[in-house]
Amino acid sequence: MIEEQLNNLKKEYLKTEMPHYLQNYGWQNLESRLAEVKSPQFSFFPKRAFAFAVLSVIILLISTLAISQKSKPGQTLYPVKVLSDQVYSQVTGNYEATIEKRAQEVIDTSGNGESFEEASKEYQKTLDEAKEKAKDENEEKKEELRKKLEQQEKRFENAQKEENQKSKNRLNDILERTRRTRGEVKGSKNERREKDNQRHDDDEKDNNSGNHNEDD
Amino acid sequence: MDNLSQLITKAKEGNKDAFGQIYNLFYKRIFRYCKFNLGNSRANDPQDICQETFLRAWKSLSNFSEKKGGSFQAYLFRIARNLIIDNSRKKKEVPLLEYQEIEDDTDLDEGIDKKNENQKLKAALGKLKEKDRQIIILRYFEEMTTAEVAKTIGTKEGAIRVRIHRILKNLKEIIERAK
Repeated sequence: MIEEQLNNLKKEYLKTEMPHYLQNYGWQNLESRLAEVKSPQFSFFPKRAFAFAVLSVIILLISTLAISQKSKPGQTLYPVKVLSDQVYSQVTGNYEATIEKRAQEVIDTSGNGESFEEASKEYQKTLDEAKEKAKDENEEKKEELRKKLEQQEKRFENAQKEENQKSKNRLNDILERTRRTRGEVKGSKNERREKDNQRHDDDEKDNNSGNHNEDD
Repeated sequence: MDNLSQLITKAKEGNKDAFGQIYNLFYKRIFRYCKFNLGNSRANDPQDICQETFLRAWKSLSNFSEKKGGSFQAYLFRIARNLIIDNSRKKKEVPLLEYQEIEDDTDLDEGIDKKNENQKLKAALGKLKEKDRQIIILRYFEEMTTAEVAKTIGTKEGAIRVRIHRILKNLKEIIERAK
Protein backbone atom coordinates (compact mmCIF):
# COMPACT_ATOMS: atom_id res chain seq x y z
CA MET A 1 0.00 0.00 0.00
CA ILE A 2 2.62 2.53 1.09
CA GLU A 3 4.92 1.31 -1.70
CA GLU A 4 2.15 1.97 -4.19
CA GLN A 5 1.68 5.48 -2.84
CA LEU A 6 5.41 6.09 -3.08
CA ASN A 7 5.31 4.86 -6.64
CA ASN A 8 2.60 7.40 -7.47
CA LEU A 9 4.57 10.19 -5.88
CA LYS A 10 7.63 9.03 -7.80
CA LYS A 11 5.76 9.65 -11.07
CA GLU A 12 5.15 13.21 -9.98
CA TYR A 13 8.79 13.52 -8.85
CA LEU A 14 10.05 12.35 -12.23
CA LYS A 15 7.91 14.95 -14.00
CA THR A 16 9.76 17.79 -12.30
CA GLU A 17 10.10 20.53 -14.84
CA MET A 18 13.63 21.59 -15.77
CA PRO A 19 14.23 25.34 -15.77
CA HIS A 20 14.88 26.75 -19.20
CA TYR A 21 18.17 28.31 -18.11
CA LEU A 22 19.55 25.04 -16.73
CA GLN A 23 18.58 23.10 -19.82
CA ASN A 24 20.07 25.54 -22.28
CA TYR A 25 22.88 27.31 -20.49
CA GLY A 26 23.57 25.08 -17.48
CA TRP A 27 26.77 23.52 -18.80
CA GLN A 28 27.94 26.76 -20.40
CA ASN A 29 27.58 28.51 -17.05
CA LEU A 30 29.32 25.70 -15.20
CA GLU A 31 32.16 25.42 -17.72
CA SER A 32 33.03 29.09 -17.25
CA ARG A 33 33.09 28.56 -13.48
CA LEU A 34 35.28 25.45 -13.78
CA ALA A 35 38.01 27.64 -15.26
CA GLU A 36 38.26 29.45 -11.90
CA VAL A 37 38.76 26.16 -10.08
CA LYS A 38 41.97 24.15 -10.00
CA SER A 39 41.79 21.18 -12.36
CA PRO A 40 41.41 17.80 -10.60
CA GLN A 41 44.72 16.57 -12.09
CA PHE A 42 46.57 19.26 -10.15
CA SER A 43 45.04 18.22 -6.89
CA PHE A 44 45.94 14.56 -7.42
CA PHE A 45 47.38 14.28 -3.92
CA PRO A 46 44.24 13.62 -1.87
CA LYS A 47 43.73 15.61 1.31
CA ARG A 48 43.44 12.48 3.40
CA ALA A 49 46.72 11.09 2.09
CA PHE A 50 48.39 14.42 2.80
CA ALA A 51 47.00 14.52 6.34
CA PHE A 52 48.14 10.92 6.85
CA ALA A 53 51.64 11.77 5.60
CA VAL A 54 51.87 14.78 7.93
CA LEU A 55 50.63 12.71 10.86
CA SER A 56 53.15 9.96 10.10
CA VAL A 57 56.02 12.45 10.01
CA ILE A 58 54.89 13.95 13.35
CA ILE A 59 54.68 10.48 14.95
CA LEU A 60 58.11 9.58 13.54
CA LEU A 61 59.61 12.80 14.92
CA ILE A 62 58.08 12.29 18.36
CA SER A 63 59.26 8.65 18.48
CA THR A 64 62.78 9.62 17.39
CA LEU A 65 62.89 12.32 20.06
CA ALA A 66 61.64 9.90 22.72
CA ILE A 67 64.15 7.19 21.76
CA SER A 68 67.01 9.70 21.47
CA GLN A 69 66.57 10.67 25.13
CA LYS A 70 68.12 7.34 26.09
CA SER A 71 71.09 7.66 23.75
CA LYS A 72 74.66 8.16 24.95
CA PRO A 73 77.59 10.12 23.48
CA GLY A 74 78.95 8.37 20.41
CA GLN A 75 75.59 6.89 19.48
CA THR A 76 73.68 7.80 16.31
CA LEU A 77 70.77 9.54 18.02
CA TYR A 78 72.92 11.46 20.50
CA PRO A 79 73.03 14.64 18.33
CA VAL A 80 69.19 14.57 18.26
CA LYS A 81 69.11 14.42 22.03
CA VAL A 82 71.60 17.30 22.30
CA LEU A 83 69.65 19.36 19.79
CA SER A 84 66.32 18.81 21.57
CA ASP A 85 67.89 19.78 24.91
CA GLN A 86 69.42 22.84 23.30
CA VAL A 87 66.04 23.92 21.93
CA TYR A 88 64.42 23.30 25.32
CA SER A 89 67.07 25.41 27.10
CA GLN A 90 66.83 28.25 24.61
CA VAL A 91 63.04 28.34 24.69
CA THR A 92 62.62 28.07 28.46
CA GLY A 93 65.87 29.81 29.44
CA ASN A 94 66.54 26.91 31.81
CA TYR A 95 70.09 25.64 31.28
CA GLU A 96 70.39 23.97 34.68
CA ALA A 97 68.71 20.71 33.66
CA THR A 98 70.77 20.48 30.47
CA ILE A 99 74.03 21.17 32.33
CA GLU A 100 73.17 18.40 34.76
CA LYS A 101 72.47 15.95 31.92
CA ARG A 102 75.67 16.79 30.05
CA ALA A 103 77.71 16.56 33.30
CA GLN A 104 76.31 13.09 33.98
CA GLU A 105 77.27 12.03 30.45
CA VAL A 106 80.82 13.30 31.05
CA ILE A 107 81.06 11.23 34.22
CA ASP A 108 79.57 8.15 32.52
CA THR A 109 82.00 8.30 29.60
CA SER A 110 85.15 9.26 31.52
CA GLY A 111 86.47 5.73 30.93
CA ASN A 112 85.96 5.86 27.18
CA GLY A 113 88.16 8.34 25.27
CA GLU A 114 86.08 8.81 22.12
CA SER A 115 82.71 9.14 23.80
CA PHE A 116 84.26 11.33 26.46
CA GLU A 117 85.54 13.71 23.77
CA GLU A 118 82.02 14.18 22.41
CA ALA A 119 80.44 14.42 25.87
CA SER A 120 82.98 17.00 27.09
CA LYS A 121 82.58 19.03 23.89
CA GLU A 122 78.81 19.17 24.36
CA TYR A 123 79.21 19.93 28.06
CA GLN A 124 81.53 22.84 27.25
CA LYS A 125 79.09 24.11 24.64
CA THR A 126 76.26 24.03 27.17
CA LEU A 127 78.41 25.87 29.73
CA ASP A 128 79.25 28.59 27.18
CA GLU A 129 75.61 29.02 26.20
CA ALA A 130 74.48 29.18 29.83
CA LYS A 131 77.21 31.72 30.59
CA GLU A 132 76.18 33.92 27.66
CA LYS A 133 72.54 33.72 28.66
CA ALA A 134 73.39 34.56 32.28
CA LYS A 135 74.91 37.89 31.21
CA ASP A 136 71.42 39.25 30.54
CA GLU A 137 69.85 37.71 33.64
CA ASN A 138 69.30 39.18 37.11
CA GLU A 139 71.43 38.34 40.14
CA GLU A 140 69.03 35.67 41.37
CA LYS A 141 69.31 33.70 38.14
CA LYS A 142 73.09 34.07 38.10
CA GLU A 143 73.23 32.73 41.63
CA GLU A 144 71.10 29.74 40.61
CA LEU A 145 73.50 28.97 37.79
CA ARG A 146 76.52 29.32 40.06
CA LYS A 147 74.92 26.91 42.53
CA LYS A 148 74.22 24.44 39.75
CA LEU A 149 77.83 24.64 38.57
CA GLU A 150 79.05 24.18 42.14
CA GLN A 151 76.93 21.05 42.39
CA GLN A 152 78.51 19.71 39.20
CA GLU A 153 81.97 20.41 40.59
CA LYS A 154 81.11 18.31 43.66
CA ARG A 155 79.81 15.54 41.41
CA PHE A 156 83.04 15.56 39.40
CA GLU A 157 85.10 15.51 42.60
CA ASN A 158 83.12 12.55 43.91
CA ALA A 159 83.38 10.76 40.58
CA GLN A 160 87.13 11.28 40.54
CA LYS A 161 87.45 9.35 43.77
CA GLU A 162 85.96 6.26 42.13
CA GLU A 163 87.84 6.37 38.82
CA ASN A 164 91.30 5.28 37.61
CA GLN A 165 94.09 7.80 36.95
CA LYS A 166 93.28 8.36 33.27
CA SER A 167 89.63 9.06 33.99
CA LYS A 168 90.63 11.20 36.97
CA ASN A 169 92.73 13.43 34.71
CA ARG A 170 89.90 13.77 32.23
CA LEU A 171 87.43 14.68 34.95
CA ASN A 172 89.93 17.08 36.45
CA ASP A 173 90.06 18.95 33.17
CA ILE A 174 86.27 19.17 33.11
CA LEU A 175 86.22 20.24 36.76
CA GLU A 176 88.59 23.09 35.91
CA ARG A 177 86.42 24.21 33.04
CA THR A 178 83.32 24.20 35.27
CA ARG A 179 85.10 26.29 37.91
CA ARG A 180 86.30 28.71 35.29
CA THR A 181 82.76 29.12 33.94
CA ARG A 182 81.39 29.60 37.45
CA GLY A 183 83.96 32.33 37.98
CA GLU A 184 82.99 33.96 34.72
CA VAL A 185 79.31 34.17 35.67
CA LYS A 186 79.81 37.69 37.02
CA GLY A 187 77.75 39.12 39.83
CA SER A 188 77.95 40.89 43.17
CA LYS A 189 78.92 37.69 44.89
CA ASN A 190 81.64 37.10 42.35
CA GLU A 191 84.54 38.10 44.51
CA ARG A 192 83.50 35.75 47.29
CA ARG A 193 83.23 32.97 44.75
CA GLU A 194 86.67 33.66 43.37
CA LYS A 195 88.10 33.51 46.87
CA ASP A 196 86.32 30.17 47.33
CA ASN A 197 87.85 28.93 44.12
CA GLN A 198 91.29 30.10 45.11
CA ARG A 199 90.99 28.35 48.44
CA HIS A 200 89.78 25.22 46.70
CA ASP A 201 92.74 25.29 44.28
CA ASP A 202 95.17 25.68 47.16
CA ASP A 203 93.59 22.72 48.96
CA GLU A 204 93.89 20.62 45.85
CA LYS A 205 97.55 21.55 45.34
CA ASP A 206 98.24 20.52 48.91
CA ASN A 207 96.45 17.23 48.32
CA ASN A 208 98.34 16.57 45.09
CA SER A 209 101.72 17.29 46.67
CA GLY A 210 100.72 15.01 49.53
CA ASN A 211 99.86 12.28 47.04
CA HIS A 212 103.16 12.72 45.22
CA ASN A 213 105.00 12.43 48.48
CA GLU A 214 103.11 9.25 49.24
CA ASP A 215 103.93 7.91 45.74
CA ASP A 216 107.57 8.70 46.32
CA MET B 1 35.61 -0.15 -18.11
CA ASP B 2 32.17 1.29 -18.92
CA ASN B 3 31.48 4.62 -20.54
CA LEU B 4 30.95 6.51 -17.26
CA SER B 5 34.21 5.15 -15.85
CA GLN B 6 36.06 6.34 -18.94
CA LEU B 7 34.49 9.78 -18.65
CA ILE B 8 35.45 9.97 -14.97
CA THR B 9 39.04 8.99 -15.76
CA LYS B 10 39.26 11.66 -18.46
CA ALA B 11 37.63 14.28 -16.22
CA LYS B 12 40.15 13.46 -13.49
CA GLU B 13 42.87 14.29 -15.98
CA GLY B 14 41.29 17.72 -16.38
CA ASN B 15 39.20 17.01 -19.49
CA LYS B 16 36.26 19.43 -19.29
CA ASP B 17 34.41 17.91 -22.24
CA ALA B 18 34.30 14.59 -20.44
CA PHE B 19 32.99 16.34 -17.35
CA GLY B 20 30.41 18.06 -19.56
CA GLN B 21 29.14 14.66 -20.64
CA ILE B 22 28.94 13.56 -17.01
CA TYR B 23 27.01 16.75 -16.28
CA ASN B 24 24.51 15.97 -19.05
CA LEU B 25 24.02 12.48 -17.67
CA PHE B 26 23.22 13.64 -14.14
CA TYR B 27 22.06 17.25 -13.98
CA LYS B 28 18.35 16.48 -14.34
CA ARG B 29 18.43 13.99 -11.49
CA ILE B 30 20.41 16.29 -9.25
CA PHE B 31 18.11 19.21 -10.02
CA ARG B 32 14.87 17.37 -9.23
CA TYR B 33 16.41 15.96 -6.06
CA CYS B 34 17.29 19.50 -4.96
CA LYS B 35 13.91 20.82 -6.06
CA PHE B 36 11.98 18.15 -4.18
CA ASN B 37 13.97 18.77 -1.03
CA LEU B 38 13.83 22.54 -1.14
CA GLY B 39 10.28 23.11 -2.38
CA ASN B 40 9.15 25.96 -4.58
CA SER B 41 9.52 28.82 -2.16
CA ARG B 42 13.11 29.50 -3.16
CA ALA B 43 12.96 29.85 -6.89
CA ASN B 44 16.65 29.78 -7.75
CA ASP B 45 18.03 27.67 -4.92
CA PRO B 46 17.58 24.21 -6.52
CA GLN B 47 19.23 25.43 -9.70
CA ASP B 48 22.11 27.08 -7.83
CA ILE B 49 22.65 24.04 -5.63
CA CYS B 50 22.59 21.78 -8.69
CA GLN B 51 25.36 23.84 -10.32
CA GLU B 52 27.31 24.05 -7.07
CA THR B 53 27.10 20.25 -6.72
CA PHE B 54 28.91 19.77 -10.04
CA LEU B 55 31.42 22.48 -9.23
CA ARG B 56 32.33 20.75 -5.96
CA ALA B 57 32.36 17.37 -7.68
CA TRP B 58 34.92 18.75 -10.16
CA LYS B 59 37.01 20.25 -7.37
CA SER B 60 37.22 17.03 -5.39
CA LEU B 61 37.14 14.56 -8.27
CA SER B 62 40.62 13.36 -7.35
CA ASN B 63 39.20 12.07 -4.05
CA PHE B 64 36.65 9.89 -5.83
CA SER B 65 37.81 6.37 -6.52
CA GLU B 66 35.80 3.61 -8.18
CA LYS B 67 38.50 1.16 -7.17
CA LYS B 68 37.52 1.70 -3.55
CA GLY B 69 33.96 0.74 -4.45
CA GLY B 70 32.79 4.29 -5.01
CA SER B 71 29.57 4.89 -6.90
CA PHE B 72 29.63 8.13 -8.87
CA GLN B 73 25.92 8.82 -8.45
CA ALA B 74 26.24 8.25 -4.70
CA TYR B 75 29.22 10.66 -4.74
CA LEU B 76 27.16 13.35 -6.54
CA PHE B 77 24.03 12.91 -4.43
CA ARG B 78 26.11 13.05 -1.29
CA ILE B 79 27.52 16.43 -2.30
CA ALA B 80 24.01 17.63 -3.23
CA ARG B 81 22.59 16.45 0.09
CA ASN B 82 25.29 18.27 2.05
CA LEU B 83 24.60 21.46 0.12
CA ILE B 84 20.86 21.13 0.74
CA ILE B 85 21.50 20.69 4.46
CA ASP B 86 23.80 23.77 4.49
CA ASN B 87 21.20 25.78 2.59
CA SER B 88 18.39 24.73 4.94
CA ARG B 89 20.49 25.67 7.97
CA LYS B 90 21.17 29.10 6.55
CA LYS B 91 17.61 29.84 5.52
CA LYS B 92 15.72 27.77 8.08
CA GLU B 93 14.13 24.64 6.82
CA VAL B 94 11.05 24.89 4.63
CA PRO B 95 8.74 21.95 5.17
CA LEU B 96 7.98 19.73 2.24
CA LEU B 97 4.34 20.77 2.56
CA GLU B 98 5.25 24.02 0.87
CA TYR B 99 6.34 22.09 -2.14
CA GLN B 100 3.98 23.06 -4.94
CA GLU B 101 2.89 20.30 -7.14
CA ILE B 102 3.82 20.61 -10.74
CA GLU B 103 0.89 20.77 -13.06
CA ASP B 104 0.61 17.50 -14.84
CA ASP B 105 -1.65 16.11 -17.48
CA THR B 106 -2.91 13.11 -15.54
CA ASP B 107 -6.35 11.97 -16.53
CA LEU B 108 -9.07 13.68 -14.48
CA ASP B 109 -10.73 10.52 -13.17
CA GLU B 110 -7.64 9.27 -11.41
CA GLY B 111 -6.07 12.67 -10.99
CA ILE B 112 -7.91 14.06 -7.95
CA ASP B 113 -7.48 11.01 -5.75
CA LYS B 114 -3.86 10.64 -6.69
CA LYS B 115 -3.17 14.27 -5.99
CA ASN B 116 -4.74 13.98 -2.55
CA GLU B 117 -2.75 10.86 -1.83
CA ASN B 118 0.44 12.46 -3.01
CA GLN B 119 -0.19 15.54 -0.88
CA LYS B 120 -0.73 13.39 2.20
CA LEU B 121 2.38 11.37 1.46
CA LYS B 122 4.42 14.52 0.95
CA ALA B 123 3.14 15.89 4.23
CA ALA B 124 4.10 12.61 5.89
CA LEU B 125 7.56 12.70 4.29
CA GLY B 126 7.94 16.25 5.60
CA LYS B 127 7.39 14.96 9.12
CA LEU B 128 10.20 12.43 8.87
CA LYS B 129 13.74 13.10 10.06
CA GLU B 130 15.93 14.57 7.33
CA LYS B 131 18.02 11.41 6.99
CA ASP B 132 14.96 9.16 6.79
CA ARG B 133 13.39 11.39 4.15
CA GLN B 134 16.57 11.20 2.04
CA ILE B 135 16.64 7.42 2.33
CA ILE B 136 13.12 7.20 0.91
CA ILE B 137 13.79 9.69 -1.88
CA LEU B 138 17.01 8.00 -2.93
CA ARG B 139 15.70 4.44 -2.66
CA TYR B 140 12.20 4.86 -4.14
CA PHE B 141 12.40 7.93 -6.37
CA GLU B 142 16.00 7.73 -7.56
CA GLU B 143 15.94 3.93 -7.54
CA MET B 144 19.33 3.62 -5.92
CA THR B 145 20.51 0.30 -4.51
CA THR B 146 20.70 0.07 -0.72
CA ALA B 147 24.50 0.08 -1.05
CA GLU B 148 24.37 3.39 -2.95
CA VAL B 149 21.91 4.89 -0.47
CA ALA B 150 24.25 3.84 2.34
CA LYS B 151 27.17 5.57 0.61
CA THR B 152 25.18 8.74 0.00
CA ILE B 153 23.92 8.90 3.56
CA GLY B 154 27.21 7.75 5.05
CA THR B 155 26.08 4.64 6.89
CA LYS B 156 26.22 0.83 6.55
CA GLU B 157 24.17 -1.05 3.98
CA GLY B 158 22.67 -3.41 6.55
CA ALA B 159 21.54 -0.47 8.66
CA ILE B 160 19.79 1.06 5.63
CA ARG B 161 17.77 -2.13 4.98
CA VAL B 162 16.54 -2.21 8.56
CA ARG B 163 15.90 1.50 8.55
CA ILE B 164 13.81 1.44 5.35
CA HIS B 165 11.51 -1.09 6.94
CA ARG B 166 11.03 1.14 9.98
CA ILE B 167 10.58 4.33 7.94
CA LEU B 168 7.83 2.74 5.81
CA LYS B 169 6.04 1.63 8.97
CA ASN B 170 6.43 5.12 10.38
CA LEU B 171 5.12 6.72 7.18
CA LYS B 172 2.07 4.47 7.26
CA GLU B 173 1.33 5.47 10.84
CA ILE B 174 1.69 9.18 10.08
CA ILE B 175 -0.73 8.89 7.15
CA GLU B 176 -3.19 6.86 9.27
CA ARG B 177 -3.11 9.44 12.04
CA ALA B 178 -3.76 12.24 9.53
CA LYS B 179 -6.96 10.55 8.26
